[in-house]
Amino acid sequence: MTSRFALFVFAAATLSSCKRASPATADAGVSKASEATREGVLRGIGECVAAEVASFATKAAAFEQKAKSATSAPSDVTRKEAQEAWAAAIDQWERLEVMQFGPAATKSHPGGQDLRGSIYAWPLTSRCLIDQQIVSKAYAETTFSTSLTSSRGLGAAEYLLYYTPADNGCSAGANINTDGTWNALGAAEIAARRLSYAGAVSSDVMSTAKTLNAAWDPAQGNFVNELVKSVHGSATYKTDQVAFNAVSDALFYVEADVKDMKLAQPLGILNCTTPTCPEAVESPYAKRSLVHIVNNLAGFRTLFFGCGEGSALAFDDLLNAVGASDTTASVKAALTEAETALASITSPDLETAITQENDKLRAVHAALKKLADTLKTEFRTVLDLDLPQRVEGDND
Amino acid sequence: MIEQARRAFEKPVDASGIAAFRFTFGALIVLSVVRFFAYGWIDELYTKPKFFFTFWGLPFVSPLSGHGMHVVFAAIGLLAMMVAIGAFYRAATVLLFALFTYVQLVDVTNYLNHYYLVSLLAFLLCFIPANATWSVDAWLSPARESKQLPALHTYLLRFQIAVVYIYAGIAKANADWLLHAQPLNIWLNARTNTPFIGGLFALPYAAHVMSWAGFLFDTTIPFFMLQKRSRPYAFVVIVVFHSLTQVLFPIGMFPAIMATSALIFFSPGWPRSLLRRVGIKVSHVQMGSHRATIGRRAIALVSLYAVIQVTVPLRHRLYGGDVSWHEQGMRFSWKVMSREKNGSVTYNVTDPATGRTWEVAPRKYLTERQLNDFSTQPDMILQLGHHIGQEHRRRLGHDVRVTVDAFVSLNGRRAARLIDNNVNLIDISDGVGIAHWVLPKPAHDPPHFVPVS
Repeated sequence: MTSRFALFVFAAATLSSCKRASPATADAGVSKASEATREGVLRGIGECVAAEVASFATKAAAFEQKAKSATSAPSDVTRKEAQEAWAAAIDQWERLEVMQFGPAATKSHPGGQDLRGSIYAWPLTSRCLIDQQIVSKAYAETTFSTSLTSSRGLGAAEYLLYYTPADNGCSAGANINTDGTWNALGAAEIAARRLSYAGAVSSDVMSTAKTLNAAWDPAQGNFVNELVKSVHGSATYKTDQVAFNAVSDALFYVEADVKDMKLAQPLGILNCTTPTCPEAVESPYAKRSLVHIVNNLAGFRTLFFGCGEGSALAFDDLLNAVGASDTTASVKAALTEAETALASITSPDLETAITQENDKLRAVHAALKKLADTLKTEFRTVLDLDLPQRVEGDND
Repeated sequence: MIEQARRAFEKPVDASGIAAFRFTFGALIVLSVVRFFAYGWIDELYTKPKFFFTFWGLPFVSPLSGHGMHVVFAAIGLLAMMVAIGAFYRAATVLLFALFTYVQLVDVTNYLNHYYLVSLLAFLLCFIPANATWSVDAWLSPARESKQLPALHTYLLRFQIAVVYIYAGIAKANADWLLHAQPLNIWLNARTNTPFIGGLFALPYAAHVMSWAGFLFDTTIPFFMLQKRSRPYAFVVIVVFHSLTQVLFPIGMFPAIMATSALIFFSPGWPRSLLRRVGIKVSHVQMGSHRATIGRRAIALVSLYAVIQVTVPLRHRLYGGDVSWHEQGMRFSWKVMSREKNGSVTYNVTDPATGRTWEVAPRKYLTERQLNDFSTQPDMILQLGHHIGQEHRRRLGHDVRVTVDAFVSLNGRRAARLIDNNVNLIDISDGVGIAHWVLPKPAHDPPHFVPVS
């Protein structure tokens, strides 16, 4: 597991940074900057996200298939296959976590359809609610897809597929414990229902992934076009500046969610009254919290430096084109520093790393703070980016 | 000279100009209140925040709970309507001034130059009988109607508007604005796709031309408005200028307030002349039939007000450095749209008992909107630092050390530390003295960015 994680991190960091690794690609970056237009950058970003969403839809379909197999023919093998398919899906989704604008965003954002919550509601996942639904079999109802997101999505699936003890996450005073309905199920039935529940979750995730993919698919919703047309005012974005604001807002996931919630809190740096808070890790059952951070950063790199190993136009090209290559360099340096520090961690999971490689985790956190500081200051200033709600306000 | 001034102040002029000012002023506040309700800004500004930044010397001002602020805004709307139509005008203006000023003082992040202007104009209207004619009060009590007023009132309003323009211009008399065309270079680059005019922003020197145009407009327009011959042309320039700023920037009611307020520079009888020109019959006013007396005390108070208005915007000179960076003397100084500044703030709290240090993110206390304003302004960073210190003291039972990592980018410069991160904010008191804990502005000039369409 240790070596596999290190290999994964190395591969992700190498793949995602290869554009800047050779002089030839560096030259390509310069020429790309000279070709950059605001429309071109929005198109590049949109097409990147559309490809990432399509990839997720494929992985969500595979997860649904494997989860259904595990439900219909429960065994260690089918469970393992379902877990692997879940891991592939969540790995892809963690890249998309940094791209929450347009249909994935909440309805208060331009073009938002609130789709993210049904796919991955973290940090709102509620183990107790899931356990209550295991008892009530609410996951088998037709209304399941409209139930609280904290009992659905890939976060719920992680618990259902990876947690094997027969206890539940509710307090002793909760109904399922006081009325004895949980204990009455017995270990075998609990295990079976967890798999059935995971199957229902996988279908729900697949359904939402289809909707999201349809929204971005050029042959259907073609949301890329909403970004591109914003230079003349689109139905979703009144101006290209509003579109850039929406995309840049999504980038700040690396600060509030990755730096603070996924790292600083478990490390005891933020919102933690004890020396460390390992219970606050993102992936407590599958132990993939570190991999999630790697994928978040890979998603950030894709959105900021362009997909296709950086060949597509993105924010770096716009910054370079306007003459703010210093800012590009700062973002790149901080991101690479974070990726390198992550790659140096040999612990199998975040919980272990907190105790055994605390310094390395703090180095990742420090690098992400540099990244966030640059984004909030120079990046926003140079491109005149603002918070969406501010755009609607008075300001002199 | 005082006698000469008094005679000029006492000179009777047509009251219809002041009446028109009263109407447009009240109507624009009504419109502002409607916007506050429509966009949900009352909740956003007064209900949603968990922490409010108080103005120095006014720590007791706080928002009303529950629907209190909605009631206050509804009252402001009603009072503004009463001012507009001149109904129970005296009481309405005093209450309008009090309530409007109160809502602006609740949270420093709500400060806007044009809201400050509205408060000042409401204050002045408390002393100006703008209901003398064309008002419900005059209609209800014809005996008290007066078609003429002393010129002093018109001069006072002209002075106030001129102060705004001239100081807004003076705020632009710096190297960043005039030599490096910042922040307009940044702002125009982000608007190169604006319909019809966006292409112009991509032209070489567009930002320089517009920077100088803005500077010259602000510093000279009141003088052109004072000259009868240039006034109509100057007003057209005002309308064009403010229309452009309205299209380009999210500055809400400011352009409308400034454009309509500039009407006060026209001859005091302009509304009567205008109505006659469009064929509406209005009575003729015989000037000089009634001459009010303005006492020495009134002149002294007006002079004092004028001195305050002229000196307050200059107070930043006492602090040295660049006010756009250290912000001391920034507010109440008409530094309108004069900088592009963004910051990043993280507090570090150390418990001296255990030696443990942890971070505190401002977003735990502030809304996104508050964060945006707070993160570049040292006094607010200090205020929240004090709050965090007090909160930890209550929880831990002893003092903690609070330091801050505050980085700011001004007008496109590389980000630099705004506040000395070795200073324990708990040891610092907010005040009007020089804030030595604020670090100097980076020495380098701002960059100039290339427009990309």
